[in-house]
Amino acid sequence: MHNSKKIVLVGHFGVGKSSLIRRYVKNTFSDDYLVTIGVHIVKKTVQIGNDELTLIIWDIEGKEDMQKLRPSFLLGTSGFMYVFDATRSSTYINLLAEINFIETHYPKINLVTVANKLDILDKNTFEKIKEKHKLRVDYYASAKTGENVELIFNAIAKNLIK
Amino acid sequence: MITEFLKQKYVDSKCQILVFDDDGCVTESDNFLFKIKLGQQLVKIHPFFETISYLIIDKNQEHVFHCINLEIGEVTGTYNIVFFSGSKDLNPYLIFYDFTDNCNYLQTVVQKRNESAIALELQQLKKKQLIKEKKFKNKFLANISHDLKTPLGAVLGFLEILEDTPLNSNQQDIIQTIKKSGKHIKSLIDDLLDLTKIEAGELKINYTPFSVHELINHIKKIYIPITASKKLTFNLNLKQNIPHFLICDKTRILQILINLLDNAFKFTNTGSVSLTLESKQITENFVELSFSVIDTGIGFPDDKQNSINSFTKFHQSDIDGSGLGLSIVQKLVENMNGKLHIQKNIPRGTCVQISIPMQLAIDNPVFDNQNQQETILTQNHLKVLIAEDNETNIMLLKKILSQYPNITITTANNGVEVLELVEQNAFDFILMDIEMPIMGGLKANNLLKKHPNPAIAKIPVLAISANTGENDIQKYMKAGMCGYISKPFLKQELFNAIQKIILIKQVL
Repeated sequence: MHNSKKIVLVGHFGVGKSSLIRRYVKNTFSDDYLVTIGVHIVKKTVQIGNDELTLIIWDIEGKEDMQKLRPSFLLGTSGFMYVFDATRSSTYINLLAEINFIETHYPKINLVTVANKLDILDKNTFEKIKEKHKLRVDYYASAKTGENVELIFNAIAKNLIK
Repeated sequence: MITEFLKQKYVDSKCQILVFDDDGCVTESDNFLFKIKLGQQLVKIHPFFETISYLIIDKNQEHVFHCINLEIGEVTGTYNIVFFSGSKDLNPYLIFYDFTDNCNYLQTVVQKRNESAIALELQQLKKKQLIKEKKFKNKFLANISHDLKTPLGAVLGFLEILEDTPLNSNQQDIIQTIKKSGKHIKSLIDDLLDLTKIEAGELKINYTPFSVHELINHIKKIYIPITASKKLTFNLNLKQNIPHFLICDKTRILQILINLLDNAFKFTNTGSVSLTLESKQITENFVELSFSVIDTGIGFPDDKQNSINSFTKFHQSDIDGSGLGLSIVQKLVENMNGKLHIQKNIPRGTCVQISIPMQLAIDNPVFDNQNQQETILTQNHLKVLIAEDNETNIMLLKKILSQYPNITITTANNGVEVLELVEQNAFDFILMDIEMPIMGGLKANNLLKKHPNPAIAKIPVLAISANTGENDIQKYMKAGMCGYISKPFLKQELFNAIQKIILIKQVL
């Protein structure tokens, strides 16, 4: 059976949303930061058991506040990936409030949180930060090394096909 | 006609209308922006259309999508897209407004803004991390210095005792060499501690009146013997206008001068070392005291002079020594609002000039009279309690005090034992180690001071510790201890402290 689902990557600017997508779709990475204006949309088909699922991935420009996002961007979304930069506290300091906003306004949509750039900050150091700020972290990733990137997208896909 | 022409040129070229049926097949397209073939299925053109295709079910709905980046055929652009889901009379349609130029411009602006915001945040993070690392380093150095000072104290102390025993000249020479090396280690540890204190911002300058002439006498006592042994000339020039008494931190001034003169003597093999003091009136109550240390030694390498003047840590590359001393000098001078200058381009040797603003002292300060010491220590029968857990240190203190047979010694290994022993004996004073097991010196002292028996509460307690940072000393003094000596200590330092205790006790 073939199906397609829209997932949206949200989070502050410079957290690596585009890099995660590029790593997942094209398996490439660049250290040069290029800001995203508006939305870029790409797709990738994954095989989950006997099923095929096309993930249509919306890479939305970074916003520090979910409420500032244009609602039309989120139309028809099946999954959210909230990405933050583990090395920059400004990108996760309001994580709880952001999660709360998403879960209140889009209660039926799957949400995962991803701490990116774990190639710069070691996981143990971040664990302490996580404890301190009581962060919800579903996945750790590094778009640079590719660590966990495929795993995360595939996990989302698996969840969407259920 | 003109409006039609202008509309075509400026509006139509930035806009495309695309009509499609309920199956998503294109039925009309003006193709102003990109080419779409009639009959083409939208979902196959770009994934964007795939995600909005479901909207067609709900009729008479309009949605606007801003800044959507699309690559259609060979055309890449950023569009604001109006989507209409269709009605009874109208097919569904899409209108594309080309905002590529605007978005490209915006891209440059936002790129700059975001990059600088990220750089600033990362810089702050790095700074925070550096402070944390520096704190850790300072704490580590303070701890290691403390741990080194305790055994070194025992080494130096026993050497002093050994020195007083019958020894042949060869043995005396060996002891002198060990002693010299031990003192060198002590000064390095002190330097390290000072530097960590300065870096941690814990160094306090104690402004008290002092005699400039006494300071100079002190310098003479240290360096005249060296002058003789190295066959150098030591010139001390005091200009006429130097005030007798000034207010500043005499200990730190002395530390600065010793560091500079030590270096001058160390690196001068022939010729002379000169110390010149000059004073310049700044205001009615303030002068600027300048010290110039000039030698005829090897001088500073050219490439090191800049690093000295820019207050960075100096590492002696071709010459022995840790380089910590000069770094401390710089920091101390800075802490006293002074200036340090190394004169460049002198034909031979080094010329270091320091100037520090100092307040004129109105009243002459009172200085200790050390001549009373012998009388005080020999003419009184003294009962002393040594509270110390380290056996070597106990032995050292006993050996030093045994020089005076009229001193009776009792020992305790911790604060609890101190509290028990004071109930049974009338001690004249207690030499209290701070770090002891079961109960430390500070806590024992606090309990003693609160003792219901006034005679016990009044027993003077002298702190003996390797922890002699500003905060530590303040803690000891606040707790009512009558003084402190820092490990490793010299015999004379201990006797001086005891003498003070007895004098205070006699007054009380």
